[in-house]
Amino acid sequence: MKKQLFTAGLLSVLALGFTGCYNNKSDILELPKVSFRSEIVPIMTSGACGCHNNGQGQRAVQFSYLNNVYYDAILARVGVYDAWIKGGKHPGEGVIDFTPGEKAIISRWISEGAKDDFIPPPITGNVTFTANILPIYNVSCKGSSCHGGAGPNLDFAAFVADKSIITAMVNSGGATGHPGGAVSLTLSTIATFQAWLDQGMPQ
Amino acid sequence: MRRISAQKGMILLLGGLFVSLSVMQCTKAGDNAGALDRAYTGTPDSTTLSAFYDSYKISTADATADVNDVIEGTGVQSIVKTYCVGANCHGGKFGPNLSTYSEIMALVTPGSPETSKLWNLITTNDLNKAMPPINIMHELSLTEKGIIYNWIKNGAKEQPGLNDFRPVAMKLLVSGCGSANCHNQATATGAWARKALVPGMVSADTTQFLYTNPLTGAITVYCQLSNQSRLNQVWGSYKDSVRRFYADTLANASFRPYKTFGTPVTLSSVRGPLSDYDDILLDIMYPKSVRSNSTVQFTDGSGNKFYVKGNPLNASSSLISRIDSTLLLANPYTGIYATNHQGDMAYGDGGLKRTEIALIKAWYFADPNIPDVWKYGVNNVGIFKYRKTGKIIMK
Repeated sequence: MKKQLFTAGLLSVLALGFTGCYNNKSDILELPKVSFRSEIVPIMTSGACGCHNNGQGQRAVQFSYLNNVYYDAILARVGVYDAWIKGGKHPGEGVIDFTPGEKAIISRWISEGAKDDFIPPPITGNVTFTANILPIYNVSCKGSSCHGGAGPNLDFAAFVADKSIITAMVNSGGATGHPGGAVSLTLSTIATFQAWLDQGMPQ
Repeated sequence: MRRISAQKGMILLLGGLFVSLSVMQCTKAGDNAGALDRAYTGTPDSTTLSAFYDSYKISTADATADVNDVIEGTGVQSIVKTYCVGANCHGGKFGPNLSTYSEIMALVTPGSPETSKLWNLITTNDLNKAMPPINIMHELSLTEKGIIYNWIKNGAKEQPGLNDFRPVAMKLLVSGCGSANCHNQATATGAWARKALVPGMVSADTTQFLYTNPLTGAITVYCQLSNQSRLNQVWGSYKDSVRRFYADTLANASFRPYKTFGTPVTLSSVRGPLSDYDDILLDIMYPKSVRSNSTVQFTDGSGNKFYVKGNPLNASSSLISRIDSTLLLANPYTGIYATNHQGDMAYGDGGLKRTEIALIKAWYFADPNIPDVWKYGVNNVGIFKYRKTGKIIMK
């Protein structure tokens, strides 16, 4: 009798344990999205995009150099990639094109919102224009068709004067506020600008 | 008929309940599951190296593999290990084990992803068969699925070969070197057009490519031949002229000019186009130093002029040495090695990564369309020498 009860109890425990499978129905939420960091960035920093990765900023906007990747610069050009894969071409002419496989990945990433998937650690120290904001601006915002070229060059005073614009861009991730059209900002950049705003925009 | 006691009946009842619960509750269905699509939505792409292992030392590596001698990336074995192999999965508790090449190949039909069990498991929308099990939220990315697809499609080899290297190398060279004002046909022929060296050309056949320095805003104007039919005609005629000239020369030990190309090109800084595989082979076999940009030319009895000079072997195909600074190149005719490397087209100019340089080297020495003389020199004495160890690459 004891043996039978033990068996019944064991079966019951097993049955309860297996009901963990029930959670399948709620666990199945979605498939992974295309990763900006591990799927998009390698395309843009490959040798096929060599002019953007050779440290010669006078020739092309830089996406990386040596072990440094300029994520904002890559992310800020979502509109360029979108126009390109929809029938456009490389802004710098030449025989450069994404492969069909790359276009499929980029297209899906854009359709999923074209976001950075890196969650930066909280910013705790002082954030200043010179030390933190200007380097981002120089790498990610300057270019022949952007700031310093077709667009206005910005200095500290201009940034302070444009506080409302920056605030709108930070709050929207770049989707709104930017006078030159929507851009996409990495979470690191958003966090840095937010901290700078919170600290009173010190120079 | 034997009577069943109440206790045994209870056990049978519980057992039945247990089985029912397990079958029903473990069935992966529901609102969310119905909306999932695990099918591969990417596009097969042979220009991304899809190999089995993460790392390969190329066959022409230095005695101790140097920085540009190893191809690295995410291989199929690593992907399978990440998603399938573990103490509680196909590396311990459950079979089959999927750790080695032969074990994984048991689920693969080389050349046919669609009939390969491995591919079907990672892309099926039958969530009760899907692997990895869909409920553990551990799904392959689009890029990872693409690597597995391409690897199977390309033969599911343990060691990559020419058919794997060539598409990748072509993409790196064509896209990486053929940008706006660099190694492309439009710029080369545009320069000739601008100098009025191509007869019958009108301004409508060309476009001005304005290159703006991103830092200073300075604008440089490049003329490009935009009339595609004219471009094909001019560049095609030029390539044909060079090839036939030297083919005749080598076959007959004499210069027998074959074809004209308008007014000859004089001193004009024209980068050799690397716009496609054919252009790249031309650049290797007939280096720029034996081609157009020289005052030396031949004229046949009809007054046709040619953009060629001298012995094509008395020149160096520098494609590889320009991107790999670990090598020194020798002229195959003289056998004299350069004293300094020429690798300024690699990282500092072309932005090529080390593994990409290794890939291009692997293609170069594996491609049968490149004559041995441009790989190993005359009589296999070698023309590429590693700077670090002095090892000469020989067949």
